[in-house]
Amino acid sequence: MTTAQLDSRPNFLADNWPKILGFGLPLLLLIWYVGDNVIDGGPRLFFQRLFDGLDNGAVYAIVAVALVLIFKATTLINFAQGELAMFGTFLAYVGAVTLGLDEAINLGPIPLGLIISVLVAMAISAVAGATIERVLIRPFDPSDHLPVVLITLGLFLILNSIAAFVWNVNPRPFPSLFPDRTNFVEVFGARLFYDVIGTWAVLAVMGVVLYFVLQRTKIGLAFRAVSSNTESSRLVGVRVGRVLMFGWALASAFGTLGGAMVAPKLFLKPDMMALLLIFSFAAATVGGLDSLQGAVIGGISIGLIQSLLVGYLGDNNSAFIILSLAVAFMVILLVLWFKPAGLFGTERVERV
Amino acid sequence: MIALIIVVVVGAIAAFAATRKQPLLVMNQGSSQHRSYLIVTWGLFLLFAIALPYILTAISGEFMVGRMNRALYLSIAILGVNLVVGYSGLIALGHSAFVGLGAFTAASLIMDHGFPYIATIPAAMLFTFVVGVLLGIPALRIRGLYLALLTIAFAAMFPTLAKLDVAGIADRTGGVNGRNVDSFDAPGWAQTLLRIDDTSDQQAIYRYFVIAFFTAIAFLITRNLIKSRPGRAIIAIRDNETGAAVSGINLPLYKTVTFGVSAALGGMAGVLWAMNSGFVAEQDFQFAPLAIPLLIGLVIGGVGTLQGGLVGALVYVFVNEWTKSVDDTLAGWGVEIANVEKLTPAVFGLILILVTFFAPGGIAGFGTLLKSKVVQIIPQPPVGAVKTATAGGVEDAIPEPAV
Repeated sequence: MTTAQLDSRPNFLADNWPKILGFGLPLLLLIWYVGDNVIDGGPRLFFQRLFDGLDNGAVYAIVAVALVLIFKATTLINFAQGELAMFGTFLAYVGAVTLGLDEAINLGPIPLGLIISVLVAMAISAVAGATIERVLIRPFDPSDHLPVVLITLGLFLILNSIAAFVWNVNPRPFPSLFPDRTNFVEVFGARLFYDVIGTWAVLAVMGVVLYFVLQRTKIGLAFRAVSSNTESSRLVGVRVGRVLMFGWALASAFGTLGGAMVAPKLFLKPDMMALLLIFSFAAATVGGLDSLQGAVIGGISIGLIQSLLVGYLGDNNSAFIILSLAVAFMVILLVLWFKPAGLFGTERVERV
Repeated sequence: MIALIIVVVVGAIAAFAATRKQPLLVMNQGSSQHRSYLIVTWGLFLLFAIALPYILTAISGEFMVGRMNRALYLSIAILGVNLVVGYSGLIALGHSAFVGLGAFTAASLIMDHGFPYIATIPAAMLFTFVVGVLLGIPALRIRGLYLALLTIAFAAMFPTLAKLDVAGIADRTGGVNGRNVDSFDAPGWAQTLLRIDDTSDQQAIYRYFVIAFFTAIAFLITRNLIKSRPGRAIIAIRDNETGAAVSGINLPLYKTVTFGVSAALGGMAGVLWAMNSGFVAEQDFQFAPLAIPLLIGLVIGGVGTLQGGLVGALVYVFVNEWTKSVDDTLAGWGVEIANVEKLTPAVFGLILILVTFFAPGGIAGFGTLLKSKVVQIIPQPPVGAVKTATAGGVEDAIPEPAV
């Protein structure tokens, strides 16, 4: 267990660069070579697919981080994470569009009203997440998975159908968080849209915020202690319940952020997050389910694999969709087959 | 009205039972009294099962028989989920895909290859068993929620996979439009025997008996599996995985085969689905509308009990039926809410959470409690035990019987 809790150390990249480069570079080079020489030519298409993949990947990464935050602390998977995010995004929609904050408050090109709505929605989601943990999750023994899985599935149904009841199932346009959405810069002839750059920036900011919260604050220290060993941290006086509430709050807030990032692309509707959640599951599995950095790298890899593989292999529309869904399934299958702990996860050791 | 009568009757029985300190009947297992008790209760149950389609037809038409058939084949799928979730303690969420796989296999074999209906049941079960084992091999070597993740991804992929226009898949499954399957009609002798005519409504009664027969077989297979050596092994895995491994149980083998059998039960439910509705389409086998209801049925009925699957399926199907007309009911009370039927899943989600909180044993748990107030069966001492246990002084010889 000496390699446990990699991400509690600041020098994650220094420890793992062989893995990252070893898996990432050959994959990219292979895909570029195949794409360039065998199927269809041109760096333009390659870069376009690269940007698309990184764009989707960033959103998968944000939601996967939310999943991992809960898994790390409790070894539970929150199947309602996607619906929580969807519901939070609808709250932001109420503020920005229904109440008209997006139109009303603008700071030059910066949609301040929308940003405020999203932040408020994130705060509400955080409170809701903490409440769910306190009321619905904590009464159950975390080593018994079934009750908590059932509770989160129940939440899934409730949130989904209330959203369908209140806002109906028709897709709604959601304003983009970033200014000048249709504008782009050209890189090798490929279009790098401003909102793609914005998505990456948000992911980077989220990473930095998470790093400082977990490494530099007292509650972050407590969170790391609980995810390393719940019983021991309880014995040394960490208030485990509060730490778990904090984990759920953080996860719900990040989920809503991910929802608000993806809603302009997918349109806002009650089952917006259904497929995205599957990809985030795959991303978290690649990362090892208990590694935050692993979730980010997993998310980006899934986005890249999806966009490059499907872009080069999928020729008709129906095959395109199935290939892209199959990516999530195949990735989970391969990880479980060859490296169940994921790329950066903690190897599980059974004690009697 | 009928629901009200049922509630009153059950409440009266419960109130009566709660007042009694001693059960009405106390008998030794294997005694002649016990034997007649079994013959009478099972005989009554069988009579009720035979009369049921006619009762339903008399009350609200053949349509309700179709709903009943749906509850029966869903109970087989729930039994499959139960085998994994209830008896071996693994979390599998994607049984909608196995039901769909069974239904599409049946449709393709009947329509493309001229199989008779009954012959597609073993074929579909074999196919879904193999798929289940293939899925289980990677996921079940490891503890934890990996099987849940893999099955959820599989179930999410399945409807799209089924309409994929590659390698003839869409031709076999009917693609987006779904596919009609030849209706399953009663032969002449059965029509005379069951007193039904040619109309498709009346044929539902014949299908009821066929589906009920296969449901009984599925329950019998599962019961025997649970009571046998492999069954005890998988229950041991659920209760203490490390302990089971130390006792020499091959964990991956038992888990994988159990998952395969549970997938095969899902496939059987799929064939009966095709038989009952005469139509299969990928929209029916999606994750949220089918896989979650199977879990809901399991939890309402009672996790880890055989009868729970049947009870849960009945509750799910008939509550679902009732919520379809809930806006009419509300309008009758003078309340009008637009789109109120969209809240049906929320009702089930709420039921799921409430049952998990307050009644983890489900309805079957209450049933067992109620039964223990009415009849107590003192189990036979195991072979080789000191023979001091008689009906009179049994409390001293063996511990309190678990009913």
